[in-house]
Order: sequence, then C-alpha cells, then structure tokens
Amino acid sequence: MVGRIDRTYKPIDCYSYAKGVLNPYPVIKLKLYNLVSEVGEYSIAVDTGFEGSLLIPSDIYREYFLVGELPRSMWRLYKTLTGQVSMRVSRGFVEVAGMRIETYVETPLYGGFKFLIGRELLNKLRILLDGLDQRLCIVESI
Amino acid sequence: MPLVLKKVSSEKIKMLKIEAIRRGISLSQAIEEAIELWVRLGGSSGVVEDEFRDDLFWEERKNEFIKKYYGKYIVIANGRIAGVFDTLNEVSKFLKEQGFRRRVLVVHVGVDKEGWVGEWWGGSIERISQ
Repeated sequence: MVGRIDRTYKPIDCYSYAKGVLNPYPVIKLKLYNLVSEVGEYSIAVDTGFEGSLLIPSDIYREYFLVGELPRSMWRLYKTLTGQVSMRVSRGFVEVAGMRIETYVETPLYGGFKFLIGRELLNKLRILLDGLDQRLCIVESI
Repeated sequence: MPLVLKKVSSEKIKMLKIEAIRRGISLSQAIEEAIELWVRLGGSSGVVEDEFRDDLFWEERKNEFIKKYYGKYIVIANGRIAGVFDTLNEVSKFLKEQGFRRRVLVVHVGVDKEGWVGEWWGGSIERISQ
C-alpha cells in the first residue's frame, strides 16, 4: 500500500527516477507500438507542462508512425516560452504496467527532439511521484 | 508587393492553404516560406505531391465523412477510403493483414480535432551543464 488520501492505492509498477543534469526526474517505462508492430521499450520523462500525449524523436516517427498518421489539418500547434512549435500527429498504443492504452504520438515538424510523456497520456494513468525515494509508481485504487 | 499568378494548379494552392491554416499563418507568409525553401533546397523531388494526396482527399470530403462515419475510424490510402472500423484494434488488424508500411491516414471521425492548439509551459527546459 503506498498511500491514502480519500482512497487507498497500491502500486502496480514503479520506476526509479532518471539522472538529470542537476536533479533527477520521473520516468515511465513503456512499450510503444505503432498500428502494425512493436516499436521499442523506452523509459520516458514525465512532463506535466506538455499538454500533448507522447512526444517522440522525428527519426523514430518517420520510420514507424507514418502508418496511422492524422491529416495535416489535425496536426498540432503548441505555444511555448520561445514561440510556437508545430507537431505531426499519429496514433499508436503503449503498454504500461500491464495496461494497453491508445495514444496520439507526436513529433516536431522541424527538428529532432526527444521523448516526453505529456498530460493527455498522463491523465489516463494513476501516478504517485515519490521525490524523496526518487521513484514513480503507477498505482491502482483499492 | 502585390503578385498575380496565372495557370497555377488549384490543387497546389489548396495544399498551400491547408498548410498555412494549420500553421496559423497567412497565404502570403506561406508563399514567402515556400519560395525560401525552394531556393534553399534546389532540385528536390516531387515526393510532397504523393504525401498530400490523402490529406486533400480528407479535406475535400470531410463534411460528408463526418456525417456518414461519425465515431468510426476510417483508413485513407491512395486517395480513397481503404476501410471503416469501429475500433483502433480492428484498424490495426486490417493494416497488418494488408501489409501497410508507408504513410496511411487514420481518422477517428468526429473525435480527432482540427486546429488543435495546446500549451507547453517551459518547452521542456533543462540546463545544458552544471
């Protein structure tokens, strides 16, 4: 049992924080699939500031996610501190803590970039951030 | 400066308009960007034309598809609807069976939104050194 607020939770799966430049950061370990095959297993940083789903590098996107892409008029635009960023959008599945979840998969229209999990996907999970023990747990309500 | 062009393909102008709307810029700005890219890239191939065909098909028929297939997943390939499905798992099974590996559009009609503008608070800022 990991905690009680107005309900009780138990962990399904926990992952140690990754080493940051100065401070460790929470990650979620998941298997990523496009609509026809498995793409790979990754530990991906949690970014609650990112409103989208799952951001991936553009080389992986181009190799695996042209299958299932959304029309250009449905690609996304993000407002950031340094201006707007356009994203291509596709779809796939992730497997995390034994759950299979449909998700949008995004990559910047220009530039390579990195893996991030944003709020649209985070909001499909129950998550405990334990900063003192430096671990993130996917939990379930009991 | 004002510019009048004759005999420009209406499909190409539609493509440009779609992309300009998606990026939230004017058609004039899009033309300027296109000129700059064309000059920079020199002799690039006509790959873009193929890539846009399914997007144009969606743009031209989307109102009809929203009425007809609301809530369904449609697969668009080669400028036509390749299949209509109730779930993404069914789409996945179909794409595997058909051996699709190249660009294929999948739209969850009425659920996938156009003009999506989100926020990204810090742009995932991190220090580059200690």
